[in-house]
Amino acid sequence: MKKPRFDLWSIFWAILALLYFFIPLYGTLDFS
Amino acid sequence: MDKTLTSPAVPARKSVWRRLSESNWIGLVPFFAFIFFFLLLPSTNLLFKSFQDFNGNFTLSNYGVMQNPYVIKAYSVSLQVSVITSLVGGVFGFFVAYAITLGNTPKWMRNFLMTFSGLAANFGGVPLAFSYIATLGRTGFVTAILKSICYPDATGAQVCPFNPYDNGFNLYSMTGLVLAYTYFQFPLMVLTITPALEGLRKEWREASANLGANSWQYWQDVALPILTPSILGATLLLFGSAFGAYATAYALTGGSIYLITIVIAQQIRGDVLNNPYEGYALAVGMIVIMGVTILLYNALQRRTSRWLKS
Repeated sequence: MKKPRFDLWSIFWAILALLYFFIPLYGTLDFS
Repeated sequence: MDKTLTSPAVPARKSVWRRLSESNWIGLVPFFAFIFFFLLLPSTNLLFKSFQDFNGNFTLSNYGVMQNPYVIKAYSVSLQVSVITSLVGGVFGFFVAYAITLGNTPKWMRNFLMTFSGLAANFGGVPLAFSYIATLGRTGFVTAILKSICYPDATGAQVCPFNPYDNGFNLYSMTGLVLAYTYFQFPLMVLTITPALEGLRKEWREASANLGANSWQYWQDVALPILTPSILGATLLLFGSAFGAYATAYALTGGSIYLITIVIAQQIRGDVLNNPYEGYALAVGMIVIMGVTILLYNALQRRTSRWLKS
């Protein structure tokens, strides 16, 4: 079965979501 | 001879139905108790107190506060913030949900993002405001990183042009509030729209491709009409969530942005010339706005899901 192609557009949104989640949490950690 | 359609089994079926309905009602008692104590009773209390004065007498004067230009401005700003954050969070959340469902991202990424969406959707209030202050505040770590990006200009002097606060950005403004609200808005969108996106069958995409439709045509004529009721419902949820938010806005802006929730808190908690009964009237105003929004949503949903029933 052919492996589905990894969509760059999807990677972009997924990485943006991960950054959006973790940057404020890292900011809190950095401050404390 | 006229034969009627009476069935000899009807009396037995009726007694079975009665037995089943009693046990079903017992199962619903906790739900109805929750609705009564946490929704109906507080709303009714709010409504009755909005028509009372300090002596407990009936009055309509509390609703006179609606004519105050600051109150009108507060409602207007709250609506603006709610609409903007529901659209921004809705679009962002839709694309993230698309990425983890139909976008062929690895399974670990999907599980990770869904788990974190569940966490972030409930991460609000003072901790969220503090996170953003620690990140994008005047001494936040992202601000510090951007301020430290310097290069020598033509004269040899060091230029650091990436300080966001020198370029008009201010976390303690509407922009900062939208950024902070988006933190819990887009995960909420991800959680609510993911099941709808998973309901889009691969066969529909294949069928539209076989009929010569390109990607844009598939989305315009097949996928978006199917998804529109779910998108509307999710956006309304985001709107309601933003409209009622108080702690994040107050912790971040200190009350400098005039939201209706902050005005209500000032009236109820006590802010020199407070009148809690006017606060109740303002809260009833919020309920009316949400009620109108839900009516609009129902009308839109009936229109958009018409073809789904045909």
